[in-house]
Amino acid sequence: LCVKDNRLSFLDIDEVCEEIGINRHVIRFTSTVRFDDPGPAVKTAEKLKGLLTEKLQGWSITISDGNISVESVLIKVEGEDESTKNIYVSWTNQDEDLGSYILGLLQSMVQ
Amino acid sequence: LLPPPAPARAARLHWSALDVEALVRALAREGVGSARVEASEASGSDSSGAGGCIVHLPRHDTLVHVERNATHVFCEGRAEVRQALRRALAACLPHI
Repeated sequence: LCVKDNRLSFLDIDEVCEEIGINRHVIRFTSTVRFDDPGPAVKTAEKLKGLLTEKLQGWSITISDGNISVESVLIKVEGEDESTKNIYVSWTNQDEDLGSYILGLLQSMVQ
Repeated sequence: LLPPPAPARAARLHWSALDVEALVRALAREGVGSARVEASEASGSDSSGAGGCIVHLPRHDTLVHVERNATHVFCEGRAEVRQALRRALAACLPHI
């Protein structure tokens, strides 16, 4: 929340950096979970979205082209239909709590 | 596994370019040693942080891709390694 042109405005973090003239440095982490789940990758993604929706009540979870998003956390499933899937979990430093929770959830799911 | 975090959280904002040599020293202080630094193909520059470079941490199954305004950590190691990396990065970048 800031005063701009004598008006109160809500700015996102990138707009704040632009306003005060600093170059934001974005830190992102990515880890991989291997999941033995035969079938199309998009089906695996839909299962993961169901799990996350159950565990992360109150969060906005979206899925597009098999990629799941929760805040800055991105979850991407890759792999051929009949092979083990690679699940890439990626998040910015600002969402460390959420990202590490989701990574831990997926790691516990595949064990 | 801990319960899921609450949605609204204060975010630490980093800015400026990363001094990669300072990062390597900070990682060593965290016990994450044996770092190997090389310029990334796109930059062709040195490891001063002005261009891109890659920090390899083979003992920890981790790569750190550093660019002027972004750092991407590909961490396949333990959560402790990631936390050490976060502390080392925070020590090398100004933040509020």
